Amino acid sequence: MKGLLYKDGIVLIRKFRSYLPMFVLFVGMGGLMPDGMFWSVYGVMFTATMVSSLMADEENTGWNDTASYLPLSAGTQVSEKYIISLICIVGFIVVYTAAAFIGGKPSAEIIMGITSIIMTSEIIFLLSLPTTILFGVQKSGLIRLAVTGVLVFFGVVILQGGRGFLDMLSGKENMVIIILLAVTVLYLLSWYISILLKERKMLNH
Amino acid sequence: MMNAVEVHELKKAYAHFDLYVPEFSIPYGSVMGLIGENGAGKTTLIRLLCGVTRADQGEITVLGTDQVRARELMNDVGVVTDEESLVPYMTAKETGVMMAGIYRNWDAERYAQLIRTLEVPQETRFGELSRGNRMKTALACAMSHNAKILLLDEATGGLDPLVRDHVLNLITEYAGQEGHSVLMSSHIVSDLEKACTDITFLHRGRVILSQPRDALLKKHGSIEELFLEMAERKTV
Repeated sequence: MKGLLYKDGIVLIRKFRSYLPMFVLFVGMGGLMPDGMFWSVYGVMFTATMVSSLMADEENTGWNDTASYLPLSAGTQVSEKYIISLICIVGFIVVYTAAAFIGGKPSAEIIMGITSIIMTSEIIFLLSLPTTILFGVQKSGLIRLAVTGVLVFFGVVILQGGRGFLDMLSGKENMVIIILLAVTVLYLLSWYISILLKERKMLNH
Repeated sequence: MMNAVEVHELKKAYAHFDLYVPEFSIPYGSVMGLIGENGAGKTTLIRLLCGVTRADQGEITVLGTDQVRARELMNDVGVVTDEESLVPYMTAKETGVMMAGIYRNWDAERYAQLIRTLEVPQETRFGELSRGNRMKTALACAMSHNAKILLLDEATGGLDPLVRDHVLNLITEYAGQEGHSVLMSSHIVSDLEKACTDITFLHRGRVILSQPRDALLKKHGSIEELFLEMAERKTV
């Protein structure tokens, strides 16, 4: 696991470094600007695809084949990617919270913002990681594009860039907690399913 | 157990090719050479032994376990494939750090020594290395985690004669240590003739001969001539 995290750290720095300023810019903008939730959610959606891009890179460079000869179980390989997704979520929260404090946002709005960020990133990860394992890079890319489109439509049109979401749930803290818990359970379930899918893929080789 | 690898009634079928190995073994301490034309089944056999490909039928025992699909076993198996794909953005040094976090028995000193001895550029990224240097890096990885068996699929391909000679010496030295064994496939018959203690011929997915090298040399004079003769006879 340690070795894989080190590898992906190097790959992120060398191959996907452009994600970092974009992520800080968009997620930070959302924290700084009044009614800027759209930017944070967009930044999260954009950056969350990074983990799938890492997996795509492993497929394209032949690393997946090399990994099959290493003492790496399906559980280790999949869990490492989910740990990166958790690190991403923590990163989103830190950047958004810091920017929101600088922007002088009220704490209730910051909490709702963090909630939206956690839910958005978990939804993206729970959809993109198992589909990438199941369908491979090319097919899952199309699925990801479709899912992102739906999420953008949902976020921009229905939730009015997050503002509507905040308005809709203001004063309904219990509902927020239930939704957050439900999404988190689905995220953990996708972790488990991803391991099973990877195991099945390795078995059928 | 006298053998590092034992295979019994192994079958694997693809659409246009099938491999059938009734009996095959690699004794501890031996260097088994695998010869065969392109598509003879050498890579398939190595993949089956590593548990990367699932057999349709038969028994495989590697280092005393038949659980070859359990990835834990790979801590004791060193593999180099002909399409070596380590991380293209990492230098040899960084690859060593990564492997230290993957293998249970990683020997960082041994790796650094091999990288130096084989003259692999340490600060150049894997993707920018020549094919020869990539193979050398992969070989250094395979030989630095105290593996009990090395499975080398065309590992000397792409190396110049001097380096090849050096690598063959390393392999022979490795196999000389107690409890170590090697299986190496190569198109360069002279390499196998030099480094191997036993030779197995594969032809169109069938083992047509598996004997000690010295016995073959005594009988036929040259492994290369024997290989050409057998391939021709089987083709006709």
